[in-house]
Amino acid sequence: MAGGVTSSGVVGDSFAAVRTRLLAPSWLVLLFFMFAPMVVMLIYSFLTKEFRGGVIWSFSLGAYDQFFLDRGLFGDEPPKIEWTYITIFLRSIWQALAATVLCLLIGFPTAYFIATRPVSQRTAWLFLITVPYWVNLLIRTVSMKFLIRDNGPLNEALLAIGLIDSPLALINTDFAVQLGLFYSYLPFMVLPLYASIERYDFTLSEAAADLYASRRAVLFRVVVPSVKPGLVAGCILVFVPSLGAFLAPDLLGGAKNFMIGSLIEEQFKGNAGNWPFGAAVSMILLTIVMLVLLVMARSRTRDVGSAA
Amino acid sequence: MSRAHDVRHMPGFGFLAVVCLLVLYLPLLVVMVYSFNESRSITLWGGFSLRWYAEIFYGPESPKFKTAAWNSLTIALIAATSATLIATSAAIAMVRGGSFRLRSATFGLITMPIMVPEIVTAVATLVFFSSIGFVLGYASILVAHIVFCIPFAYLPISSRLQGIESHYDEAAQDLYANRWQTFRYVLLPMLLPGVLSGFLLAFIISLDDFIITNFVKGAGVETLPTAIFGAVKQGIKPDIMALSTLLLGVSVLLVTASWWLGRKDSATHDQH
Amino acid sequence: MSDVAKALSFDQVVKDYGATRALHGLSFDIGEREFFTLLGPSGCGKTTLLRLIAGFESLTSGRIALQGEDVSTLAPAERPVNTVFQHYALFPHLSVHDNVGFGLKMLGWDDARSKRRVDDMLAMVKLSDFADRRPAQLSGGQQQRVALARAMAPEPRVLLLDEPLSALDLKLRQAMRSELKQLQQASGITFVFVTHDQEEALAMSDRIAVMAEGRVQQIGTPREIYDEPVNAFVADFIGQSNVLDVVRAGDGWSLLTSDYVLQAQGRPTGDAVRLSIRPEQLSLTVGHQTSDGWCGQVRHVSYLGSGSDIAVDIEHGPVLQVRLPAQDAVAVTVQPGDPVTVSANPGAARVLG
Ligand SMILES: Nc1ncnc2c1ncn2[C@@H]1O[C@H](COP(=O)(O)OP(=O)(O)OP(=O)(O)O)[C@@H](O)[C@H]1O
Ligand SMILES: [Mg+2]
Repeated sequence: MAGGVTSSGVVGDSFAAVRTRLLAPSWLVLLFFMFAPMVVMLIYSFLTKEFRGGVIWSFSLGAYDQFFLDRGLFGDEPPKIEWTYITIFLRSIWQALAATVLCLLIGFPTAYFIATRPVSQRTAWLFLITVPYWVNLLIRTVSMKFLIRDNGPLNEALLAIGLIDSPLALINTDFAVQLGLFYSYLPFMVLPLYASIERYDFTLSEAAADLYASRRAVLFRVVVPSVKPGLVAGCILVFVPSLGAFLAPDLLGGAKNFMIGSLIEEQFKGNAGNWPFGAAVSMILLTIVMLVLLVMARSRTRDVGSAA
Repeated sequence: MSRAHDVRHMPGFGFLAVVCLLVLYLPLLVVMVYSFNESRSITLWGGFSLRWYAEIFYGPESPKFKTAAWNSLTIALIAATSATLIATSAAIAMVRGGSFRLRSATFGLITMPIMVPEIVTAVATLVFFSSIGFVLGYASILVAHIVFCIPFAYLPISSRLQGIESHYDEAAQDLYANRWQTFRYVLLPMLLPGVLSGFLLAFIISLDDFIITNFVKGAGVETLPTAIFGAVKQGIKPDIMALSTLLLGVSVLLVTASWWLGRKDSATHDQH
Repeated sequence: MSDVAKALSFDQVVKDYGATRALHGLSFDIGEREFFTLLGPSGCGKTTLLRLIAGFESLTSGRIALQGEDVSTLAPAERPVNTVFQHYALFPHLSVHDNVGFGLKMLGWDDARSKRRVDDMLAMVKLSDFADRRPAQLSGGQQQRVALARAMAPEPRVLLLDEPLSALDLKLRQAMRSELKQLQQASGITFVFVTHDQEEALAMSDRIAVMAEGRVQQIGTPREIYDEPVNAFVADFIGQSNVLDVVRAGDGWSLLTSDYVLQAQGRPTGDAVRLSIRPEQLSLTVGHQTSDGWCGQVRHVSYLGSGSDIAVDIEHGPVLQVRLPAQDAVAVTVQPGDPVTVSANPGAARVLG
């Protein structure tokens, strides 16, 4: 037992062996079925496509070439930048950003409102906010589609009360996709924000008000900076899944509002059937997401460091 | 204190909170209401009826839905159970195992299915299965579900375990319990609410999954979400709304159960 | 103390946490049936020592023997020692009865015998009516008694208590002091009790070990510790004390800047030593009389109800704390700034080591 025990260890302990046995199942399952697939995907993105789906095992940069470079219709012109896919990525980023902002605009006041309710009411509010998240995403998206159709209940109701003269064209627009994403991931915004605001010390608001701050000033200069960690977490939790979303753009956006998710799906399920290209697009998406997470993690450690 | 001078109060925030609830619930309520519509049209209200529910169970499409429901349920049950067992044992090692070299790498591995966008996991799993010649079907869905259920089971279990102070373990050992007895008589009973809510989370996540299932299901095997998606592609029909309402009911029931467990648990804990 | 009568003995006990040394080679014994208290300020290593005895931590070096038998490398479950935890650590999912019976179940006692023992224990702590409750349904004081019953049920040879009273309010704490003491005497179990409350330690203990910075400063009965502190730390930590640097003057001791000579108890090691004098052992007269005491000015007076604390600025010397009874004539009249003379009662001063 010569000094080989960690501070939490107990005399006569040999936890290392037990620990390995306890961790073995998760290591095995996740290394084999989660990590290895990522590696295989990376390899696939450098293989040659086969026409009816699948791959030919020979090295090729074709997938990335197709993504970034335009060599003309017959592939014999000098390479220019290919904008088709970059545009899809940019549009996806834009859509995800718009959805994040929407979530923030509604989610922040909601979280704030809940956090300022008496404790007994908060649980009920939180429950109401979380329940829809657990309802099947597909069903929720279909419901949204049903609601905002050209002759769906929303338009019917608005027509009936005379607010509009002709049905609003909502479905198959950019806005419909944003609405769908907003609807899909709103609880992801509200919950971390709520956790932050609930921990916020409201005497800070009182101190600011005492020093002649207006309500606006209290909100933007005291509350918002104090709950920044929750704000950042909420934005990431909405932005990241929105970026790779498939259902909302597919069901609500129609054919012309293509996003990354649909682009990838088409390579495997649709007629395009280009696996290496689908793998390459996935790798690029994964890279972007990891970069976003990394930047956020960095900024968070910096925040913590400067606070200390 | 009058509201006008309460610095916590922000005018209009209550209104937006109500808007938030409205946005969350309106689509679901509308679908629920229309699932009881007698009319075949999804636009006009033709009176209350349960015919679309009968249609799901006895209509011409019913065998398809029943098979899909059976697949969904059995996959969710097996996947959630396996994920919960794997996650529980991992959580014990991670939370109670002291510090070790691979700790943060292990945590990264366990949470990987949450960090990676779902569609990317779907692609990776598909190409992996195809590269090792794993035939797509029920088994491939099941394996994929076990994998992405692990972090959802792990998180509530490990956070519950972190909440159990190590004093309890020490008290048990002080009272002559060996490692197994400490786990069996002290940790496990105290951990149980976390294990249950982890299981329920994993169960719902598995039941809900569309994207990954859609990639790895192969031809012919459907779960409820993929079956519904296929049907919706041909237009939203009333029977789909009835089916959705049923699934919605199941989800709400499970979430309520998990909340109730969590609250009962925190109630006994607060009084300490 | 004969070898047989040692409940616990520590031999050069050292404990390191990484680079920090929490205990610096402790060696002392605790007798059978003793109520032994570890007393010291926060962070001095009391809990660490207790956890070493229980087996929750492993020794860096040295040896701990229980009734003569080396237990240094045994697991907690292998040591006939039980602990009352600071926050009790009662198992929330078990009833009071099952909590108390937990150790017996682990030891494999049969049900009937175990039930009898649990009932006895609950009667002992006056909680027989609460057997079926959950810990969450008990008050703090009741939880404390369950913890006690649970730790005593397996008939340990030594009971370890880590600040068991610190979570209780003042009234309950005082009531529990005498209750604990009675339980200890009735059961005949050796108690090792940790506290940083000196009053608690003085009231309950047979012997006290005063600790500071991972070292034992002094071991003795409450009276020895209070009346004969061996160093400035003990003198100041137990009660309050004035510590003076003095030099030899004839057959007594004096400040360099004063003619007042006083006698002191203890064994001086040279011509310059430190003395300790308790505030209540000093008296005060109005005006300056150089030969009868130290002259100075009153700095401030705090009224305490049962008495008054008066700080006196000695001319060319330290500030002395004087405690006077409430009805003392001087205490009633002195004002800050008044000239006064401070003198020590006979036998008040002690030479510190
Ligand atoms: N697990 C640990 N890891 C590192 N250092 C520790 C650990 N436990 C205690 N220490 C250090 O050892 C020293 C003694 O700590 P200990 O808990 O024994 O003090 P204590 O006398 O019980 O204090 P308190 O009255 O505050 O409970 C402290 O300096 C503490 O910081
Ligand atoms: Mg301590």
